[in-house]
Amino acid sequence: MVNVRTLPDVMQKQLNEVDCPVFKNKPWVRGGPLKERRVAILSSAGLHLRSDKHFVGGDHSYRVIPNDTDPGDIVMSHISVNFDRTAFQQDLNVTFPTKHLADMEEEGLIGSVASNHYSFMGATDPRDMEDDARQLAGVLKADQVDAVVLLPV
Amino acid sequence: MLAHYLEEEGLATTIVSLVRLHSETIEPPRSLFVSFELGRPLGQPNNHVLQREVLEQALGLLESDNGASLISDFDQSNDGTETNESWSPTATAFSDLDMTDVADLKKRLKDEIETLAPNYAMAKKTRGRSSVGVSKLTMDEIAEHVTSFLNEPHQESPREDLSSAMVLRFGVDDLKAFYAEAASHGGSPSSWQLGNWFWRDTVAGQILISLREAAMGQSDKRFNIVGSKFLVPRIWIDELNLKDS
Repeated sequence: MVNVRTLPDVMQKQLNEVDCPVFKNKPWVRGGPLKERRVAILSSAGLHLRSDKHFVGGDHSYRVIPNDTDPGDIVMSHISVNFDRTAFQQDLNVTFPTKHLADMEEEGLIGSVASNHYSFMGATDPRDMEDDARQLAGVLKADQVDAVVLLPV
Repeated sequence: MLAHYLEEEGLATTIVSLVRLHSETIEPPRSLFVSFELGRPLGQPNNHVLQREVLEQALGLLESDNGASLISDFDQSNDGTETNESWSPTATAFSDLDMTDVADLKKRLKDEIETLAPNYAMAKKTRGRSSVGVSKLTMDEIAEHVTSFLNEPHQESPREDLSSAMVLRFGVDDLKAFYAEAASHGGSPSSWQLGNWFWRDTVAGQILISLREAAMGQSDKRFNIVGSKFLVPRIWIDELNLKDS
């Protein structure tokens, strides 16, 4: 469990009681070595460009964040106030590590970085995001992405 | 769940998990559990060594041939309650506040923003970015809009595309971001230190606590929801022994 020591009882209870689905099938996609993979970030921090539409309650859509976006053009409109935002406010890479991916590409640890990254807003029930997620899979494959790192908040 | 859907569509995924119980139940294909604060999947701000370690371990799971539902544990933890003794909070305009004198509160808030502005500007320059701006209002406009709710909940929206209550929500997000970015400039305070400072020692914090109380008794549904749910984090409602909504 996440740092329960710092979470009020009510938040611990909420996290413990989240209605998580149990999937019967366990998909597992095999791939080549990491140094040949093309990697994209999928955040659920409610990130988007300043020019994009902000997230609202129940929003199941995603936003596109090009890899070469100026870090100053990325903002957060997640509806929850119950996670720490001060880290994101000080350092984008703690939630959206494009700098680290660029370094890893340069060092040969990954093959390449995707043209675009993506963000949902995690307060929405992910079951409501299923259609968007499956559509996004096609978009990712069209960019030759074969590795996705999911970063919640 | 998103990982499950993507994997079913033929994409290999790995997730940094902040809640182990959820990973154990959903069983995404590959997850690296980290014992960090919610909001910090890669650990600490500006600790790029730690961030890289987490990211590399998470991506490294893609090379495993486990076959199904692999959960790995990151071996370092940080719950955000540590104290950085070298950080000292920025002086604020907080003292002897009369929470019934809205005109004075507005002036004090604007004074406080002005006090923090140089640090905010330096932080923005040093970091090359700021996360402030979702409301698309200036800090002065935010101060006006936020304090106006202390007088009357039925405020006109300063933006045509958003309700007054939504502008309040985003304005408060911007206000908190402005304060945190300014106060953390040149130091590495923990989230707990920043929270203590903001919610106990700033005019802005006291105004938001008052707004929350005011909203809880309001019949205006939008203000009631935004004010009671989206201004003060649950952890500080508990820590400050505020009334439950």
